[in-house]
Amino acid sequence: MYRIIGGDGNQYGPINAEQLRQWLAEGRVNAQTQVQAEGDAEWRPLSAFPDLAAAVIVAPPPRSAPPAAKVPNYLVQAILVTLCCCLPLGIPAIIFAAQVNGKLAAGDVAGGLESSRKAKLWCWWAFGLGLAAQLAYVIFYAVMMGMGFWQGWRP
Amino acid sequence: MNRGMAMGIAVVVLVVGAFLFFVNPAPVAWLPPCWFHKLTGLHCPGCGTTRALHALAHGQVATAFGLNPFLLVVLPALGALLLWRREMLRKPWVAWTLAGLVMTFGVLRNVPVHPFTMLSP
Repeated sequence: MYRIIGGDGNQYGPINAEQLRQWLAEGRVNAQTQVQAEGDAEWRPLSAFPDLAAAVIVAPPPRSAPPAAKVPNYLVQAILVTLCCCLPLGIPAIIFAAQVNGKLAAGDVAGGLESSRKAKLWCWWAFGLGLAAQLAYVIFYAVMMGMGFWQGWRP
Repeated sequence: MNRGMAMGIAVVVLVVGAFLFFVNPAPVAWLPPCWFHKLTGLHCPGCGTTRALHALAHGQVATAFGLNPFLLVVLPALGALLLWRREMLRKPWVAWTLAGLVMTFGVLRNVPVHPFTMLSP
């Protein structure tokens, strides 16, 4: 025998497994419904009862999107990377970063995630190419100096 | 921000700070240039950062401000937001304001007419 807590927060039961399956089929309870087996002090979701969960017809829980607060906007990174003299690549990073929270606020979680992803991508490209260019310059300069070509040569 | 990250940032700030204290980037040829400036002749929003940081390391705030006013106004503000009002950075209008500031500054400092020429490094 089982007791359940309904969607209205009230307890129902005790009922037998047959009845509970019936309710499941009718949609009165679902996999997340809190269920207490008789003689058991603990409330657990229905899905934790193997014999009952088998009756949960392929009804996967709604795909949980990450909560809006967890989507990073990369705004600070984008601004820093732009200030480090990688302007052409930093600008899209900033634009995408600025889009993120507006989209999230409008309930467009997928769009927010997409902008977040693009902002991150542009940040890394700007950072990587910027760093590569600066390193290439220092190495180039060191080589030129090593070859003694540095006299009279100004960047 | 966790402890390791804070330590890492502190180390980077110290090393870069010490480096820029001893090396004046203006007359030095081996420091990498701004590629954007070299290729287009235009000033990007970050131009003057190295020289401004060098000036700052020597306590010359006015010189630093003249080289890159944006750096001196926006970066401290950004740092303060990051430390104490992080949720502000998640507000769309704050994000768009910052984005607009960077781009407006980048455009204005390239306008070759008097009040704007003060913005170029």
